[in-house]
Amino acid sequence: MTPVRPLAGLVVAELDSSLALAFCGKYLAGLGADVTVCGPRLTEYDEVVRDYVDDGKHLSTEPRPARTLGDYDVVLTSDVPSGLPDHVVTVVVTDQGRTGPHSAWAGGDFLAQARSGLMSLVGVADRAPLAIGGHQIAYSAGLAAFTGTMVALHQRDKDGRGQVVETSLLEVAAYIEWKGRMYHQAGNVLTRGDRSGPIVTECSDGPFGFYYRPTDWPAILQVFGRERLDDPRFADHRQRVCHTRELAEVISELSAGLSRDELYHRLQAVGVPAGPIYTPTDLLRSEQYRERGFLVPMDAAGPETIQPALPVTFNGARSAAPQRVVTTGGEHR
Amino acid sequence: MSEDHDHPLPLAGLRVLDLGIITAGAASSQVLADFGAEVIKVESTTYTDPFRNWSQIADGGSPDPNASPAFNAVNRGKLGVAIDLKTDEGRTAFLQLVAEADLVVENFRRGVLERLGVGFEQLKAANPRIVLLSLSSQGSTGPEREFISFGSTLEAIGGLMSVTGYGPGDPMWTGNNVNYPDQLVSIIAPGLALAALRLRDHTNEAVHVDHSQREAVTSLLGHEIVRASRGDRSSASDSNTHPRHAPHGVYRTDGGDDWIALSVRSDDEWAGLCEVLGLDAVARDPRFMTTDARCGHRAELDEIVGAACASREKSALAHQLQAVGVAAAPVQRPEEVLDDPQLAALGFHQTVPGDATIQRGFVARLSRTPGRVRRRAPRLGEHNDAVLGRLPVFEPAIESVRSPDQVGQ
Repeated sequence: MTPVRPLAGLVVAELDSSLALAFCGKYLAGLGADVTVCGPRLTEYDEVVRDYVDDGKHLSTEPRPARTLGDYDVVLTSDVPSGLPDHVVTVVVTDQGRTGPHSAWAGGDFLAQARSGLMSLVGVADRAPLAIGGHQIAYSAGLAAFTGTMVALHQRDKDGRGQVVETSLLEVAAYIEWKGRMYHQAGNVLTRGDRSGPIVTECSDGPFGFYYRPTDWPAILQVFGRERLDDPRFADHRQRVCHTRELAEVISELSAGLSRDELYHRLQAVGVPAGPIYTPTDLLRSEQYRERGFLVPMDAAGPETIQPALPVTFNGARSAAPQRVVTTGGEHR
Repeated sequence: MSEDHDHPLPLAGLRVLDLGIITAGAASSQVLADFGAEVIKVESTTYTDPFRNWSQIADGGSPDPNASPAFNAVNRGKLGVAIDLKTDEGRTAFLQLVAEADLVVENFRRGVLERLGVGFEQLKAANPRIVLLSLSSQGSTGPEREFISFGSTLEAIGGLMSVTGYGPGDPMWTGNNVNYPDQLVSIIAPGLALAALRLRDHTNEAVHVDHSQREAVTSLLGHEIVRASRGDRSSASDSNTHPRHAPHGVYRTDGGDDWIALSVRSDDEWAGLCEVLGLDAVARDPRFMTTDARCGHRAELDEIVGAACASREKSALAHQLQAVGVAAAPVQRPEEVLDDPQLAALGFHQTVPGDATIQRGFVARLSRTPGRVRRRAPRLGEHNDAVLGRLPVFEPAIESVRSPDQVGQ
């Protein structure tokens, strides 16, 4: 199916080396905007990260774009350049915000998870708070900037005027972790590892995320049989929560002879929302992803390097970056 | 339906029908409401948003469908109508609303919209320019399209659990307390919907936006997919460590469950850390003199730094470390975040009219046309008269969907 480019015609300059801004730029480019990035790129990250977030963009080694900033619709930057024309949407992502008592504090993904309350709720009760892996907050901040950009462009379509769109890693992490604050105010304090539900069990070919709801128990008995699970320790949900460790051991014994995909399909067939704990290597073999055309070759790195497309289709079609034509100058067009 | 008009809202004039439930759907459309869209939450008279009586986290759900903190936190700024889509009259009323709308948002199981007679084809028949935003577990196509999931499942099948944990073989999820994939979707999906509206305006045709939550999770691990496709090993299994920074992690401080997070990224920062923690001799220890050396002795380093932090107060220590250039922050509990001075200075926290509960702020700050909370979350069927009363064809049959016994008033 022919790819679509909902943002075709938009011209974007990415001025600063920031993983969040780069991810915002990746989404704009992936939806068809013409994105040029300038200057040294993301030196604190490895080549794999740089390749992923910059795919689909025009890369320039010059510190600033060849065109004047007024030629762009959107400028992605860590601070607001002076003298921008009124039509430009300026997108700013920082660690802590540009104002406030701690605006100059060193930050980043890991510290945003700590300060926002998010980390305090992830992990095991008697162990340390745990960060979510990867670059989740930096990428999420890029996505918040992307959505903010789309809002600002909607307004610009009405009056022709741009504005500054701004977020920070701290705010985005606090946006993601809202339940703890909300329930605290309602008198119900959430703490790390205090809730029932997920169990990690072992199948013959790897770990499995055994997520179930109290109402799923009859279906689980249907899949595994009653012999090992018809036990007073597992008689009702409260008992099962009290004996989570024992339940996990029994479930692991029952699942040990099954492959992850076999258990996945059996549980889903009876409506239990469980699934395998896939690694990135596993996902490269996902039939679901293959059929949906989600894993695609990376433009700049050749067909052997695979990356995820944007997680969306429009009338069944994936979106794509503008067609690239390589020129002899510092930029690719 | 009166509104104040302190400043123009950027999405004013955009009309959204919100069939979204729980977090992913409802919070996505709330973002559009925050920025001025008229979002009409459509609930069935026989099946309300489960967040109205959510007992998964709260200790027991409230019997009052209008009192749920969770519901109220992801439905602010919306109007509410109650229509039973399983009836002809209800379906007719809904499709008349579709005729006047720009966008429909839904996150039901695949096939539910079609069974209700309000699938994309029916929506297009009612409005050839409609945009349907479908937020689903795995998308509307593919062999696993009908599989069900919760946020935790998506973390497993999307790959996130494999890079989150205390070490190899110890995968962890954010769990019900956070449900990270649902929050993630509510950040992405509004932007995708607005992109689809641009596409609609360009082609003058209806657009079905099919957003897979599982794909969203994997998209945020895209560099690990690239790495795997090149045959390289995944970069992390202990998500509290950093491949090139040491010390880097969380260390227990004085107090019950109090911790500090810090990351030393250079030799200068290492010197600063040792100065603040009084580790003069350690600063000169050759095992820790360079970044490479420190990364090679993480376990010893963590023990030393942990011992030095144990008697310190986390916030004061973070201030001292930041003063010498070391990236550090207290690991705050949610209630402490409510008092965070930086978030307060940024104006992050919001309240809704008539409720003192502090809610999260906006997904982004706009300088000229910022978001604004215009009203509290709607009571079930609260705006039936105002919304259904303006339908172009207000037939007697539709009257029945407005009757109090049907809307649960």
